Amino acid sequence: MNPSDDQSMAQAMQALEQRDFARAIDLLQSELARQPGAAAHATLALAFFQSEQYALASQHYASALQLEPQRPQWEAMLALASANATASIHVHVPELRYFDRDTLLARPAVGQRDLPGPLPARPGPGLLGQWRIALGDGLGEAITAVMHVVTTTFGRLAGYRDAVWTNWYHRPQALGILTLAYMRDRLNADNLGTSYPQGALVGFQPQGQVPPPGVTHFRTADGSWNNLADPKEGAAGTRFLRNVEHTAIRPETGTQLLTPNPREISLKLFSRGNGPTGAAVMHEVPFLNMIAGAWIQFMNGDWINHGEIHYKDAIEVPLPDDDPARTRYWQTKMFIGKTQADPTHMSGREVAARTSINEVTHWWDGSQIYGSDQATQNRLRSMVGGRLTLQEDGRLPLDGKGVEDTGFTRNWWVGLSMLHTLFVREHNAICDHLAQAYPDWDDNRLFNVARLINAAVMAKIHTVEWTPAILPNPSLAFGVNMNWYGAFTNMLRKGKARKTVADINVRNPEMGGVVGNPVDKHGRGFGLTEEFVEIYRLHSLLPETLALRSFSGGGAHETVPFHATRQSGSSKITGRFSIADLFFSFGNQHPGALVLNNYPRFMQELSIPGNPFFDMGTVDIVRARERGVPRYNEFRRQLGLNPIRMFEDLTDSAEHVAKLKEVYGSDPADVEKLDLLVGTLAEGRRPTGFGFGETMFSIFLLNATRRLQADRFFTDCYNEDVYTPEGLHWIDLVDLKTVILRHYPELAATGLTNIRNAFEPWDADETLSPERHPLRGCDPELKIDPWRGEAHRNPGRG
Amino acid sequence: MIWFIRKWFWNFLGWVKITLNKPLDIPLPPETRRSIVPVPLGSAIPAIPIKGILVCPPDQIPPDERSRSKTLVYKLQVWLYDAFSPMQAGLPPVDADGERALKNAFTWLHRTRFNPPEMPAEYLGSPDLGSLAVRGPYACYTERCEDGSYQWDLMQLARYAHHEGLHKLGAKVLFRIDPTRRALQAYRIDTTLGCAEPGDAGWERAKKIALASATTHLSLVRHFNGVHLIGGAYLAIATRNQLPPTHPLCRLLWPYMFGTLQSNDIVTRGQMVRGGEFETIFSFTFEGMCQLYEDSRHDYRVIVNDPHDDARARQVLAQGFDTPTEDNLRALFEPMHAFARNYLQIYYPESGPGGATRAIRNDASVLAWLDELNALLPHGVDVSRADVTFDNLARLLARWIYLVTVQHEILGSFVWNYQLWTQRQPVRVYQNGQREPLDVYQRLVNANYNLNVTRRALMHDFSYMALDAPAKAAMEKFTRDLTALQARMEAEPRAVWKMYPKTLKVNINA
Repeated sequence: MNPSDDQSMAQAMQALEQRDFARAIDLLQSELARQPGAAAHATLALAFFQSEQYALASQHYASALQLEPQRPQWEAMLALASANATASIHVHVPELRYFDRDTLLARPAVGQRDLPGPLPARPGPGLLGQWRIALGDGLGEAITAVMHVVTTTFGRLAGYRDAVWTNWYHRPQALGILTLAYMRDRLNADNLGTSYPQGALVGFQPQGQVPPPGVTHFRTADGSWNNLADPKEGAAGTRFLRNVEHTAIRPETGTQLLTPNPREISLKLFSRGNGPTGAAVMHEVPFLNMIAGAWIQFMNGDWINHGEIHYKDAIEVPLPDDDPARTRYWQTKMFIGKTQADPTHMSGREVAARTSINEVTHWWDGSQIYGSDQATQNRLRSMVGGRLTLQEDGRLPLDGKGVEDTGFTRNWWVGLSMLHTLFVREHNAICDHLAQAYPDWDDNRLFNVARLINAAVMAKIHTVEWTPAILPNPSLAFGVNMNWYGAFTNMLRKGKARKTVADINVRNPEMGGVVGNPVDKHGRGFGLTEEFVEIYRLHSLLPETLALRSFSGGGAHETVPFHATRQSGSSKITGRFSIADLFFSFGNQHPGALVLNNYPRFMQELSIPGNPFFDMGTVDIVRARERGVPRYNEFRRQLGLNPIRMFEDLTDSAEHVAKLKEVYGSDPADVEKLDLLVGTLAEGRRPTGFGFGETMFSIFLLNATRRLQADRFFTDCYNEDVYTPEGLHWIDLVDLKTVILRHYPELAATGLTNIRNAFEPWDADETLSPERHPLRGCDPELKIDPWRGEAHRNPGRG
Repeated sequence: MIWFIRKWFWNFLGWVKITLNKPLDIPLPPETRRSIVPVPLGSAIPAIPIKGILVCPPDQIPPDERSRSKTLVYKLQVWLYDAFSPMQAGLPPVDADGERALKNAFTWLHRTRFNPPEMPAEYLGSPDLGSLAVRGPYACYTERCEDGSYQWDLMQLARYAHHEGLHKLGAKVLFRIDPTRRALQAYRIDTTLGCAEPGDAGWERAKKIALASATTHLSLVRHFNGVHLIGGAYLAIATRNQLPPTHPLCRLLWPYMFGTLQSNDIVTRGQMVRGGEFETIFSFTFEGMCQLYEDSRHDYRVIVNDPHDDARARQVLAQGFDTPTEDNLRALFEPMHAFARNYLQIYYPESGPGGATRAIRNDASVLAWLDELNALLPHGVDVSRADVTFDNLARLLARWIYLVTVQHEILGSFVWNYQLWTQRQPVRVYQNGQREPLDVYQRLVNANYNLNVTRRALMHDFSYMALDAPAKAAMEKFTRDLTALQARMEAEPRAVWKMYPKTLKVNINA
């Protein structure tokens, strides 16, 4: 039946188009009572879908399909509606809340009892210790002076870029690292911008505030007082900073915001291809597992979020005429809620045309676990033994909506649930360890010291494991280990014998490591940036479905649509699969490559609370434009990179070039329109082994060091007085594999034991392939037979 | 300085023992043998006043096993316990960091002969008792309770006299099934200090007492009493006394029991005498330890040498949780059982219904062998002359092979990877919360180190024992089956809790 043949149906369709879903439902229910039919069921299902009544939508799509089974579109909608119902997607997680100017401008609130007082300082070093410190300082002074001259001279003479692309990865390793050091120095000199007026403290705080007790030794819940002279630097509720000149920040509006049409970009340049069954085919990264994909979102939850979007003030993106969503959702536009404005922005009185607020602390402080405010932190704590609350079965507690309760729950899915659970357990294990060493410590001291240690554990894993896993390049691998340990330790010690703060700690960030050496902000206060946010749009990593199975071969085996793992769908999965099974499943599944036409199809038709049809691909384009992040070529210029001259510079793929020209135009000047995300995904010339290109890498190069180097707790305060000797030792011994095995020892007989880096595929074979485990080829500890798996190196005891 | 000298003296002695020790060459059974009349342990070794356990007296150790040099070394060692004891009062506790403590005790000299232990994943944090209940050596204690929960019941250890300053051993750990994880989860531990549950202040201490109880029971009762003094020794005595040298069963069992009586004599002195390893390492006083041995011999059941029947009796199979160690043990038992059946079929063929059983029942030597075993073992061997069949005799033979190979390994050398992490599972739990002193830990390391002396491998070719070509073929097939199992296991990732055919030794002799 054609609905338009019927007057009642026509009215219903009109109501749908006008987004009057209640009226559409009334009409369609009457119609269905009068004349049951597949189309009526399907249309009613759509009305329920659009009004976020997903269970009812699911029922009616099922009824429609019973009457007319061969309707792929209805089948797809049924699957989506069912998944949305399972995950209770209509529920806002967390509760809706918007920034409040007075709260943002208020002084940091650290209660008298929030932090323990510092313990008396440990006895100073003995004679030998003093000699070591003096030696480290002396060496550091000398090396710093020499390094500066060498790096600058080499960088200037040799250069770091060719006609378009950088060239460090074509050089021998030592020179490649020197080139990277030069590039980083330039970025630190030229690309650290603030979003606050000159002379203002972060968050417009008054000068001269007195640090409350405890902040010298412990992280506060909201990230305040990391800098004792600028109390809100890096705190939650402060502005994102910028890595580009103010003049380059041009928030786009009107026609410019929608040109080229972001939905068209999404459909043409992002969409995955079809397999034989019509299902999306993902281009996989062979050397990574899905834990790496979940990990970066886990980290992003620690670092950055713009908070709730506006639901009533939306950007309306016209759907192209041939957009299948037009018929599927019976709408002609997509609605994207605008980014919350910064209520502290003084329009017309600031240099920055636009500013945005970071909802979470900018610091690498584990705020995704602990929350970014004291009330959340208190809610999550058990108040016994410093521990965080877990259910009896070791899973995260649930909130009233059936979603796991933790420090940061936006965009929640089961991958986050796994990692949050793991690091809550790690926190509790650290508490137990500290309690054994310091039996007289109270809950608050145990909690706060454990938090410092746990945050450092996560930072270390990200720095020395996740980063080289996604960018498996020998120079880069050495470089990130240099950041953490320093070149000397990295060259002289292997594996877990490496100490973050060496016995002779060379006071130089390259040779002695950033961590444990003096804080250095390069003259600018710390905060993560809008540009940083934009380069972490890594949605292409996500697959369409998750293949979940038991590590021991028994139990359930399911292929779960990604939709169904979101929000409360996550706890339903952890009720069926153990966290160990989930890690095993993720360890054996690949993420998608960060390339064009590899965007998850499910994210192009995502439902979010308040908006049943939301294409994240479109949103990814719109956000950069809305927030004034320059388009690709200007972004590169701002970072000291050469712009591309033509689309052919980007990639050798004729198909991609043709598509780019189709969308952006074929005039040479049209390359300037190229969106940042599209450009980064299109970059075909990438540093050897890299999972993403050099444009993203430049922001990464700047921030990977800065996140550590600007944080007092990774630099000046990374010592035994603050972390305890036990804490420093815990961090030295840790890697992700150890953390997973510590809490899920049942995984000891899986591929996890066969690999060194837990972000690699958990292959159990005796011989590991270079394509899937490239880091083994440059691992100094694996000079003999690097491709033999760890679990096959020493069969049998002893 | 004295401690430095003492420590290095004993380290060196241990190193010499492990360096000079060579795998036994196992000759064919001698033509002439003298019958062995076992006597109470206290009579054989007056320094160990245990009456209930019968052993082969030193003067009856068969000449083909006797080693004067080894006996001399052990006598010297025991003399040194008094003359220059490895123990020194008043030493500080070991380092809080397990790796550092081990590095200090397991020195470069040790490492020249043997790799350091590998930490099981269960000990990377506070020990996961639920995982230990199904993986590794302590899985043998897991049994079903009447209410459907599971337990380790080691409360009986509280009865024995302890050294001063220690918490009493003895614990009952209760586990419930986590169906999602298909695992056991410890939810309560009873000790003499009371009951503790996760989250309680006393939970970690209760875990330590539970693990100290388990590891003590494993080493003293399951390993030394069960495998050495009862199982292994009685197999050797009965076999030597009742099976003629050309009897097929004698040839079958010979590699698995040769050397046991000599070895037991020397190691019993080294470990059980006053001032020996057991008294000075573990929690019990010498008197307490002797009483434990007296009592626990009554608990010995031959079924522990049968991973199928033992797991069934403890009701741990197919109960909704994974049992990897049980699976591993049963996989190891299978080729042994197949070997016993193949071998028996050669000499007791099924020439008609019940023919094999009839042939066995007509074999006076086998019946006498069973009689003696049933007389020696406190609860017999579950097979007697009245009910022996082809099937149960084959199973009994497999159990004996399993006893001296798998059981001895998992309860002995295998503990290497578990027992040395005393920060996680102490051998003593001090009332003042301290860790073991340096001397106790050093001796624990050295005692375990010496359990790893090189011994003849199970997969060695013993087909020269065969009486004929079919027996030779059966023995060779056994080796091939073990090799195939090894290959299958090596195709999977290695784990600390897994036992491999390649690591198994053919008998229990040091």
